This record gives sequence, C-alpha cells and structure tokens, in this order.
Amino acid sequence: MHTDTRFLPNNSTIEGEICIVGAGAAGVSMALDLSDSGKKVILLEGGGFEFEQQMQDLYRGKSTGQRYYPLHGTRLHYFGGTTGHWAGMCAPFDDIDFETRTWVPDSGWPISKKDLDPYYAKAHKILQLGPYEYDLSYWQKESADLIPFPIDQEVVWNKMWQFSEARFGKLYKDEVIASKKIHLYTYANVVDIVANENVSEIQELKIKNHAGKSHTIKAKQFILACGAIQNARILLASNTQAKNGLGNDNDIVGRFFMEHLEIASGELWLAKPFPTDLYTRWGQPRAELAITRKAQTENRILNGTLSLTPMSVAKHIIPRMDLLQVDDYNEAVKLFFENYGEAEEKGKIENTGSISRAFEFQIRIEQAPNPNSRITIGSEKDELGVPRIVFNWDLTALDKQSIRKINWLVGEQMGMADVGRVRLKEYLRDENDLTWPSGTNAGWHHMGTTRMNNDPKKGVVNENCQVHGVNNLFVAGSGCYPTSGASNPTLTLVALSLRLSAYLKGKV
Amino acid sequence: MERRNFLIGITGVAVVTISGSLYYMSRPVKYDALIIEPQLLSRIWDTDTITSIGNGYMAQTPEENSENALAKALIDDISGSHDEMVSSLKQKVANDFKNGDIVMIDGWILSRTEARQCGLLSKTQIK
Repeated sequence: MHTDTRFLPNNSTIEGEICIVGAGAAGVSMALDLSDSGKKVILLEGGGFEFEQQMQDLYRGKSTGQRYYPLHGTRLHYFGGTTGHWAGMCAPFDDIDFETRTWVPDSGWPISKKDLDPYYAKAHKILQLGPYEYDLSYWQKESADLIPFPIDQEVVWNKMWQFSEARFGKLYKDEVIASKKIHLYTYANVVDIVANENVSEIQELKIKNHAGKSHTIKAKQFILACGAIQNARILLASNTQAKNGLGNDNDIVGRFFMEHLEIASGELWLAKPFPTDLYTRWGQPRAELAITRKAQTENRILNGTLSLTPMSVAKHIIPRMDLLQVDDYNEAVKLFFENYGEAEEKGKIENTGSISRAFEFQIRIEQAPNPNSRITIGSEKDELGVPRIVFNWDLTALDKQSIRKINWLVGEQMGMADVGRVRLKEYLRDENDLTWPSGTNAGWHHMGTTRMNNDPKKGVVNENCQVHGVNNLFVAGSGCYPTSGASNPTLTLVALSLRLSAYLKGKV
Repeated sequence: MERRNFLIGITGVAVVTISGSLYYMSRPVKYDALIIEPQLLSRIWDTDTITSIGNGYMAQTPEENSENALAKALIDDISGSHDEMVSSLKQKVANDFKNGDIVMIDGWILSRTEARQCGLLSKTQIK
C-alpha cells in the first residue's frame, strides 16, 4: 500500500507495529523481509519515487574537515535511496574486519563474520547477485580466463567481487506497494522522535513535508534506516527530552564517521603481456589485490585492496574529489561520465608500447575509526526545521601509512615474481609526509556514526542494533559498523538489516 | 627500453675495462657490458628513464657513485658464462625483493641490484 502524506489531512496519526524510517537498501530489505511477519509495517520515505532537488536540499550541510563532496550529492533522497546511483560492487567483509586488532584503535565488532553469513546469503537474493561464493577457485570453474598474478598468496590474495544492478526504486516499488503488510508513506520526513518520560521507549515520530503537513507515527518498534549521516542527524536533533540527543548520553552519536578511501595510489608496469581479465573485466565477478590477515598483522596496517585500471585510460581520469565539487548533482553525474568516456577514448589511441601493459592501482581501504571524524548539528535549519549537519571528516596517520604499505607490499611481490614493477604515486613517496592530495577520493560510503558495541560507553547500539537505553529504537545500516572493512558497504548493510529484521520477528 | 635499442646504445663496448674509483678499490673490475642491462626494466623504460633512475640511485647512494664501485657490487660474487651471469643477476634481483633490499627511486620500487644496473648503465652512457 502506498500513501502520499502530502494529501493526508494535516495532523493525521498513522499507526502500525513496526515503523521503518527510510526506504533505501536497508529499509526496503527489512520491510520486504518483515512483510511475512504478520505485523503491519510502516515504511517512511522522505521523498517520492523520483529525484527532486527540493528533497536533496534537505541533505545540505557544512563541511569543516578533510575536503569532501557536497553533502547533498552523495546520497539520494527518494524511494530506493542511494541504490539509485551506486556502482553495485559487492563483497562480504573479511573475517579480520570483525576482529579486535591491537594496532587499530576502537576496532572489533560484537558479532563475527559467521553471525552474518546466513544473512549475506539472503542479501545476495535481494541484491540479485550470483551465489554467495567469493573464492577465486569457484569463479575459475566458471571461466578459465581468470588467471591470478603468480605472487605469494601468503601476502597478497585475490579478493573477489560481484556486481549488482539492483536499483531498489525500480526493482521493489511494485512489490512494496502491492504488499498488504507494508504501508509505504512518501514525503514523510522525520523531524522529531518523541520518547516516554524517562526516555527509555519511543512513543511516536513527528513527520513533515514541503506541503506544510505534519503527521504523527505510532508504532511498537522503530527502526532508523536513513543512512549513516541522516540517522545520526535525527538522533542528535531529537534533543528536546535528551539534551545531547537520543542515545547520546555518552557523546558517541555522530562520532567515528568512516568512509572508504578510493585514491590512485600506484602504478603497475608489467614486463610482458599478462592476461588480466581477472582484475579488469567489468560487470562480472572479478578480483582486486588484497592483503592477507598475516601481512596486515605483521605490518600493523588497515585492510585494503588495489584495483587495476589501464594506465592509458587512468592518466586521463580526473579525481572525483576534484570533479564532483559542483553544486548541481545532475551536473556532477554528467561530468563524471563525460570524463570517463573521454578518458577511454584517449586511452584507446595511446594504448601502444609499454603503457599497454601498465595499470594504475586504485586503493580501496577502510578508514581507521576516529572519534574526531564526526557529524554534529549546527544552528542552521533545513526547510522542515531540522538542524543541518556540520560534517568533519578526519583522517589519521594510520590511514595514509596503510595505503603506502599496501602498495609497497604489492610492489615487493610483483618484483619477487618478476611480473613487473610498481611505482608509488608522489604523495606516498615520503613516509613521513602525512598530508593528503587534493584528489583524495572517498566512495560515497557513509559508515560508523551509530557504532555497534555492547558497552554503552563505547557504542550507540548493541549487537542487535538496538539503541542503548531505548528499548524499542533500532538503527539499520552501515552507521552501525564499528570498522568499515575493505569491502563496499551495501552487501553488508543489507545483511545486517536482515539480521535485525530476523531479531525483530522474534521480538514483536 | 626495447632490447634492440639498448644493444645499439652499447655497440662496441661489449667488454669494458673500468678504472675504478680509488677510494673504493684499487683493482679495476672487468665486466661484460651486456650483463648490466636491467632485464625487466628495459622492457618497460627507454634509455633516458633508465639513465635517470641510475642517476637517482647514485644520488641516494653516493658511496657507489663510480663505475668500479657499481660493477664490483654487481658482479664480484658471481661468475660464469654470459648466460650464467645474466641468470645470476636475475636471481640477485629476486633475492633483493625477498630480503627487502629494496630502494625507491622516483617512486619506483626496485631491487638494489637493478638500481645498480641502471647506475652502471648511466655511467656507460656518459662515455
């Protein structure tokens, strides 16, 4: 069922048993999963079914730290959420991503990879991926052309990725609307969360839209599934009853924001032609060069991978952090594709001689948890009266040292195997230089603002994604990640959301 | 650098006798100039780049900034036919990577042996 809240009588009250705030990958996955629970599920979407600048404008904010993209362009504010522009790269987190690592401050999840495995398999169906298989040997049976570099697998392994084309807006709109148990409300922006007197239980949500309508949502369980930035913003802005915001007695909400750093970091020049399909094909399972647990531990570095782009193309690609600074989101998307198209054309012409055997490494690496990398709310408010965010992205020495070391380790291996030679990008050559180049890209992956820890002093939610101290308030999505792993976040956030819905099915 | 071009570059100097740096050693080292070709790097770079890397290595390692010092460091512990020498140097390159005897010049992660080869080549280019 679907209702546009702009056309409801003002001050309507909507009631259900489970209320999910946000209809992106996490929210829609949960709603579909809960639709067989026999409970009435309210699914709130702030926007409609299409891109609208007015809705995107609600996401504007101020950046104060490491250079970042315009905040209103990194997320999409309509049904289907950010799957409307994602690249679809999926891989589960590695075992080590869940573990406490002595050299990574504030690392460690209260759950393990094994706890998520059943939900990863389920998430694969929702994301329309292939089988939940990420061993290279499995995919080599499918295609004999997948040949790895002959390097030491004790140091560098081949991390497989699958590609999803699931855009939830198109894929699940009809199913959600047709469901008798899911009640989708569009143009329903949460502006306040109202709790009971001792702030131990949520009673209702206040929603608003640009049509000037305000409504109330009542339910037994509430789940915030608006993305890591918006979830934190809503909690912080709900500060009438809890001075520092809901769930923020220990000043952790909004802290530990993490991204994936995705930066050109090195070059691989092969001595002779090598079949690189395993690393360079697009749209089919492929690999990136990853660092083993043993090598990460020995070198005390973060988890990261290197992808390969033909050098003749890569040399013409403008760093996204430089390219996408324009205010108009659609213009930014246009510029991105134009630049890539031009780079490919130029690359075809220049792809002769030794450069035809050269590749640019792009690192994809977790960001070390850092309490100073954070979201707060400022004095400026959006059109619906919600305080806008102040965003302080903050990187650490460990982030940069790890990028350098990963490229170095791969360089050593390529040399040892006599495959080719690796060259570090200029910003990595001085190991004492901790500055970042202007083109330090991030993946539009927002994580960690409501981190999971069973100790309320160290986390916002517990292992079941329940906000500490508030019995019926949960957070779904990548904001719950204590560490950000080397994999893109969507597969894991869908898996984690499905784990939450399984928990709620048992509870409600 | 393509191998053919490299060979053209050193025509006539198949065997070079070097008067070594006195401060490093008094005995001049004899070596087959063909073995100084950095085998893998010459498939990637042109002569100018190899020379530039060689100069970079000598700037980083001034105590080796002479033909004799470089030649000695490269071949003093190996012997045999031309092919055996080439093979031994290739093994030295692999061992450098394995043992962490690695240098970085202009961002390139190189074995010390091949950096020395570049250095020696840059010396012969000057002649």
